[in-house]
Amino acid sequence: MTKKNVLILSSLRKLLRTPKTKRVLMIVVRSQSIVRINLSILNILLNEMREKGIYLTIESPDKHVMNILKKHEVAEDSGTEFGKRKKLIIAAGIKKPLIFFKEIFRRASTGDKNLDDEIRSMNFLLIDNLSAMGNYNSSETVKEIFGAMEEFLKRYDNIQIIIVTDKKVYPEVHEIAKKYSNEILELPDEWFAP
Amino acid sequence: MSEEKGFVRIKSGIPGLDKMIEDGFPFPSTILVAGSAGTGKTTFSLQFLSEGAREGDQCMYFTTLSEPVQWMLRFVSQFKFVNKDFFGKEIVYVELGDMFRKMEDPLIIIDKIEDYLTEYMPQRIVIDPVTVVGGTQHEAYRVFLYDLVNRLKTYQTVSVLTGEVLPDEPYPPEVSYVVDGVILLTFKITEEGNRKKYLEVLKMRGTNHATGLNLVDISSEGMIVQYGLR
Repeated sequence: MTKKNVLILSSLRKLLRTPKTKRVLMIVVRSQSIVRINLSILNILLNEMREKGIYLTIESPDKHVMNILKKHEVAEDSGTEFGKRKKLIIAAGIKKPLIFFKEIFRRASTGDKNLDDEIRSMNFLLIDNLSAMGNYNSSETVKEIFGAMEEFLKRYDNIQIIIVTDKKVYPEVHEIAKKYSNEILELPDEWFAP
Repeated sequence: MSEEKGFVRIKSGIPGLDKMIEDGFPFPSTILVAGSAGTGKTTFSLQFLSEGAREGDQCMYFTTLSEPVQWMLRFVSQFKFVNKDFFGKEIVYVELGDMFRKMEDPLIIIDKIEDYLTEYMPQRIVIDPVTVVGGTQHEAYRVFLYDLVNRLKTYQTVSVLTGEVLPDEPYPPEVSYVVDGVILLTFKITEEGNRKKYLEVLKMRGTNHATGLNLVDISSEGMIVQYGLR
């Protein structure tokens, strides 16, 4: 492992150990490295910190995500549906963020106690990657997603949201996200050079 | 969104080319580089990977030929753009020739490629040449291409597939349907009997790209596109 890799991992560890009272953490990184950074984040959260959570991915199919996580021994105990008390729930789709939050609220409003309990047993929600939202949603919908995210955080005070984004892609999405973030970690491009 | 900044562009590593394609290849995307023998497909590919390695990208080079990969690397290492320390680290090379020669099921070959991708998680990939698969897989070729390109896209990479064509065949149509970009490398014999090489961007999704033939030089510096020179 290079010195730069150590620097990246120690910066991620420091950020991810931020107290849960800081509800939204943002990690800014170049697009080419997002897949690798997500894997490192999940490894720290699931294997080092022994947490449980949700991985909301916009562009990567769930089977593909599970394949990578399994290959790297990050999350063998993962699934795509609530109810089986998995360590990691993967929710994938280009319109998924809004659908996901609405579905949670709908089920909660019908008194789905099992779902409510399961989410209350979790620690994080990782959103990958926020910049991709701009490809499939208008600015208004992006704001609506952040509104839903706030409501979700109010309902589940055990959850910390981690957003991964490239600030050069759809800068207005990045600006909206910044307003909601309590801590921001920028990983400079030169940290990825050999 | 109001601002059209949805595409990240990555440098091709070919001087002159990025000016023709809005500062680089869209990330992620799959690009076909087609041309007949000696037009510079492998040079293009290695230049593309070397640029990535310098930028800190993990790169993978898959060869579908039966020749040992070191044989090819030995020749390309004479180019000035090549940093030999990248071989085996920033640029990982894999020989798939045996699998194709044994006519293995195309889906098994794709699974094998995917195994490597999940292990190394590269940001830049070259499959050189992909058209050799057509010779061994026949009717399964289209399914192979479609499945291969779809899986490459999910890995969030820029993939360059090279395609060998005959001098009278412009590009391999089966591949061009499924990729995001097509770059043609061609040559013409002048009246004086000199061979002039050209590059043409035929297709580049999401990109306002230059059209027409552009003169190409290949020297110890690698490939250089003389954008605007015909």
